[in-house]
Amino acid sequence: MKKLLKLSLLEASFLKRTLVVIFVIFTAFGAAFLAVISVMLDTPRGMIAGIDASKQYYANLYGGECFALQTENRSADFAERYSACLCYGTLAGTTFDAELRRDDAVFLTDLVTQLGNGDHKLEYRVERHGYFIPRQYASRAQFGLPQNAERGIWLCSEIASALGVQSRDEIFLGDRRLSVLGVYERGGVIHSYAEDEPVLPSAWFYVVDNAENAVFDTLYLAYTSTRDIFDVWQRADENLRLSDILTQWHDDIALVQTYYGYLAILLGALILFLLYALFALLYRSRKAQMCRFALLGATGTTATFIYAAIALGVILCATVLASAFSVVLSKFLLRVCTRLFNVTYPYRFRVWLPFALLGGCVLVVGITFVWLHKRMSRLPIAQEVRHE
Amino acid sequence: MISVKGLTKKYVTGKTDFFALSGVDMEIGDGEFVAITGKSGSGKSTLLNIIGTLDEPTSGVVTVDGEDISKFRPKAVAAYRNKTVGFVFQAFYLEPSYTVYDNVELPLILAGKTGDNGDKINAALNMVGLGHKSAEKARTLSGGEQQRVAIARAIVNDPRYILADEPCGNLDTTNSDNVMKILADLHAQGKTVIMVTHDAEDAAKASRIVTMSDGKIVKDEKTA
Repeated sequence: MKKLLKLSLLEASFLKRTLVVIFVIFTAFGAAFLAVISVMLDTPRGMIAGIDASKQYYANLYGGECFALQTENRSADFAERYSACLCYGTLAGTTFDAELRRDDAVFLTDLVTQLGNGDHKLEYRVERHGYFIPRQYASRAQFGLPQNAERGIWLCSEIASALGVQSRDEIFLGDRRLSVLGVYERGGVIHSYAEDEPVLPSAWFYVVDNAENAVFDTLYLAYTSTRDIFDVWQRADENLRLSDILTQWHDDIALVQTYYGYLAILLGALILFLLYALFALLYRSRKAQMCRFALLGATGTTATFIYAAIALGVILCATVLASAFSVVLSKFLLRVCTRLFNVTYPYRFRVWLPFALLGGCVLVVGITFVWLHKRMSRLPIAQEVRHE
Repeated sequence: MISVKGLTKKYVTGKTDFFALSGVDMEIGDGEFVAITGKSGSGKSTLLNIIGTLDEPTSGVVTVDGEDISKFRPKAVAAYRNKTVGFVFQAFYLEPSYTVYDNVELPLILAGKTGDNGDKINAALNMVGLGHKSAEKARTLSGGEQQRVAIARAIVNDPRYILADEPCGNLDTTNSDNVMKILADLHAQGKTVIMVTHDAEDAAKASRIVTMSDGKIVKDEKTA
């Protein structure tokens, strides 16, 4: 039987006939994997520094992890001044582990506690939201708050004033010493910053007062550890409102989401169609041979096995080739899409698209196998042989 | 022994029924060389196909060595085609990219005989006079040679019955004579040969001629 299979696979005419189909399958799989791998492996990493109402949405949307530390102060004055929300989200490709999260929270809590300094009794709440970062990427994490926080901190001018510090000074929070990277005015206007720092902090958190109405001369909604992606997120404009940026951002995301939705559906349909077409083609080209085998005493099971082995072998080869092909092209697609839409990839497709494709393929292969077996077991041999 | 009783085969084409076989009764004894003749559409190939389990009757019974072949389960049908009967068709139905040797080996592999089949294959090929061409691809052979390979393939599992459907239909006179001689040799060796042909000259070489018309046997005679 092994020899039989080998001989069947080596049949030149068969390979000729299916070469075109293999190429089409290859391309289709390439496109599909291109999309999948792009979103899975090469998604920008970064932070979302945003308003309270939006952070959870964007963090969830991008698979980020969003923390909100909010002060809940009964003091109207302090509440108004420091009802700051601090949030950051991480995108796929990085994550914090539990310890870091806890440290972050403690660290920030300490900060605000010290600022409160007994005049105002503060209560803090740490909100944790769901995160969707695949665990296998955790080891690739390249940023975390403690590591980056060592570079320093940006302070609201009022806080800086209260502490008596300015840019380039150092402050102690507990046993931690941090440089003051910059000082910004309430409302987000940059007051001063260390010259070797970008206008907004490259530390991994940012405190925004009244962020909804904040006005920035330069705003990075999110950025990553890589400079090229960092640039993408930079919106430089005078009197730029965060809320406007977020609105625009939201629209962009919705647009790309739609595109990806359509793309995923189209690709899924295309792949399923091509798989089916491949089977159909193979069936047609092999049907006569299966009849000949049946004439010689092959059972339906044998015929199905031979047929399915050929078909699945071809599909497997095409898939492997397409996967390798797509890894290269995915980089290209990432760049193009990022530049074109100025946004990153919607996270939700990372989750269901591979599973949908895989499930679809398994379903098609399974159904086809069963169908084949039924057909092979009941081939109208005399008729088929006569047609041949 | 093959026994056919009340065999009917009906094809439904549109609203009309077409009877390819209408109540055929016949018996074929062991070691007979039977030629089934008749015009196109007379039902001779249908009869052969049903005997070979390539087709199913609408009604009637075909027993081979006392067993009703219509009651065979799929595995038994496969075994029957593999070991009890050997098919030879007008169009050869060889695997064109396989060598002559591989083509003849196929029934042995399907029978689970995956060991050294060289002796059996060479014997079959020598029987049809193609022992020297065993390494050649089937598609490179002439029509007559391909038909002889098909015969070798049909006999390699040593079946008791050879079912041949127009075995000389695609061959010239010389090759037809060669094929008919091989079939006669097989008959002489004790095989039961059932041959469908529309050629009276070929039919005359059989020991019995069954003539069909409109799905019925109209004449059944022994030859001299």
